Amino acid sequence: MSPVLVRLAFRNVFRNRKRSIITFLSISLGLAALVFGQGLMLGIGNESMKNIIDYQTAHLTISPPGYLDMKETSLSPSVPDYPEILNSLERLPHVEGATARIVVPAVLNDGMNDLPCLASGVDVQTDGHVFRLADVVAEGRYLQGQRLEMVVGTRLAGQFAARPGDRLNVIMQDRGGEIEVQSLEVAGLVDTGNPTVDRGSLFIPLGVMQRALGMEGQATEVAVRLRRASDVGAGRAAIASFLAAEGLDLDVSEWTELAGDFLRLHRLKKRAFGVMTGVIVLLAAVGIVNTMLMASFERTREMGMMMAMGMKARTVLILFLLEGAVLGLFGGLAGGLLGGAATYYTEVHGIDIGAMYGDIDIGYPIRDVLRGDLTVGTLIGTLCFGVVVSVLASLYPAWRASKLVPSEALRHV
Amino acid sequence: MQRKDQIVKLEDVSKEYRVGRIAVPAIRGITLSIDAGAFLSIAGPSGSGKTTLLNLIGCIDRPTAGSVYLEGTEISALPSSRLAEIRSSSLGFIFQTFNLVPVLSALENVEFPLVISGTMGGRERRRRAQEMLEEVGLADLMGRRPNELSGGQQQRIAVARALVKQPAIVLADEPTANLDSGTGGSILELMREMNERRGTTFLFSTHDRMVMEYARRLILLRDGRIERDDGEVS
Ligand SMILES: Nc1ncnc2c1ncn2[C@@H]1O[C@H](COP(=O)(O)OP(=O)(O)OP(=O)(O)O)[C@@H](O)[C@H]1O
Ligand SMILES: [Mg+2]
Repeated sequence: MSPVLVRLAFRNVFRNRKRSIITFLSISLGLAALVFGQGLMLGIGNESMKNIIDYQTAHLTISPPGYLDMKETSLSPSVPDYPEILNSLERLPHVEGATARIVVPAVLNDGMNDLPCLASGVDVQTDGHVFRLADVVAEGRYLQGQRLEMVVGTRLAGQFAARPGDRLNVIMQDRGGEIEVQSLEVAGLVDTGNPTVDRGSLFIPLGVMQRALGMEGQATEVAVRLRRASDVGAGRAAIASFLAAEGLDLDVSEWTELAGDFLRLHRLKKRAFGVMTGVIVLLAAVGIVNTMLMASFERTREMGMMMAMGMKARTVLILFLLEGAVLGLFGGLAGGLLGGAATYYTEVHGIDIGAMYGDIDIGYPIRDVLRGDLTVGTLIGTLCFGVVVSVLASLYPAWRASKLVPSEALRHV
Repeated sequence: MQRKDQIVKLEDVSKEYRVGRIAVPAIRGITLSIDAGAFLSIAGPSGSGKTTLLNLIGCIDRPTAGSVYLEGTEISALPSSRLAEIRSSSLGFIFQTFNLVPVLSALENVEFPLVISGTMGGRERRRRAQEMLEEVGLADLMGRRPNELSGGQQQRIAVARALVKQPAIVLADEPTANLDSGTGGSILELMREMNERRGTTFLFSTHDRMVMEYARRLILLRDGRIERDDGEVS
């Protein structure tokens, strides 16, 4: 393909300024919406997953068979000899850290009102190897040692107007079915952005929990953080084979199983977003078809002249497709720049939907400041997408132009 | 028999166009031969078939009946792609209006037929196009776009473009129709100069008396027939 043809295509695109600008705007706005929407979905999705993994599920959970179905009931079986398992886990590939927890349902009570919640006994030494609660203490401080204290989700504490230093009763059922009431001081409030945690969780030192429930030396689950989230499959396999080799009858589950509801919702929203952008891009494509048809019609005589000089039908086809590609390229560049800038703005400053709409639930486990995530992949993908759509939209006009008969095209006025 | 120096030969050529169910005859049984190096004008009133005849000789159209020989080859049965190759390699074209590609500079326009035939590299193409522009006296305007040139200058560029491939025949359909008589005359002077210097065969159509004066052979068409052919005048 001659560079002259490419140059010709470039110049032809900018030949009818007004029309090209309108087409170009529609492509670039469509693609900008695509970049922005994708960036926002990605940002929200990633932050949601982070909030689920960091505060709620870890990457992997080792638990007795049937535990997942019984979690949040008081009768869940426990993991025996967890300290040995923890020691060995740290040496397995992909594993960054592991910690043991006792997770049981509880009721929080201030002497007047009751609220159901999930109580987790956490190992203050190792919990930070897996979870990130200590980083999101909004008020007061994180747990220290084995004191009779707890850390409570901000929203849950808010229901009782409880502040650090206040005492609340935690009511749980021990292994024998007896009701245990622990009066614990609120050491701090955690604000994770994940509503499951903020509205319904409290954290107690593991030792305190074990004593209260008569579960000394036991845990209900071992939570594992991997070096990379993408290693989840390999990490799970490594741990499963280790457990099998040790003859331990324990299950390993991935965070995606624990956060299935969220992921299904996210997939649905992504699909809805895909349909929406599909419509936008389709509209832009219709604009391109229209522009290219008009261009081919206006240039009928010129095409006739070129074909009379011996230009092949195939070359005419290529010329028009090239013009489509140029239109898509520039539309993609401008759209990428515009959408990228908008996404980057949200990445840095965030969109505070809390300030705009008050305390609303958008169905994502994130704070009410939305942050986009701009990636090179999105930009390059969008650029390619723009060019491909534009070339496809030019196919019919190009085909029509290539079917011109020179003698008739030359008579065209 | 086809004589070697007969560069164009038509044998009982007819062309009709179909408009709906009606056949419109444009050329009715023309037999004609043209010697290499001719400078020939096809004249006649509007609708007499001048453009159709030039298109038949120029491999842009096929006859409904009869045979057209170009440098000894019968062309009417050749496939379109082969005709495009012949147009690209052996023929040069000058049209009446909208002759040049508006988004290309004068130099690029002259270069364009060489791009289409794809037989030489960019450097060689530009050198040839430049030489051609010098020959028509417009070397210093080679960077200009057609809309920055006068009508006469544009047709000079078109002449340069038609000649840049050194074709055997140049076909010009009313090359001066959009020019005033002075400018038109100078274009014809240029064409005749090229005809004499290079030996290129020129066929041009016109309905302007003044233009016919330049021709060394004049064919008068009426209703798709040759009304008069004064043969070669030297
Ligand atoms: N594509 C076509 N379809 C139908 N009729 C046509 C077509 N091309 C030419 N004709 C008819 O054929 C006849 C000859 O047309 P042609 O264009 O060759 O004449 P011309 O001598 O070049 O006329 P002008 O001086 O107006 O350019 C005319 O009657 C014209 O209407
Ligand atoms: Mg005509």
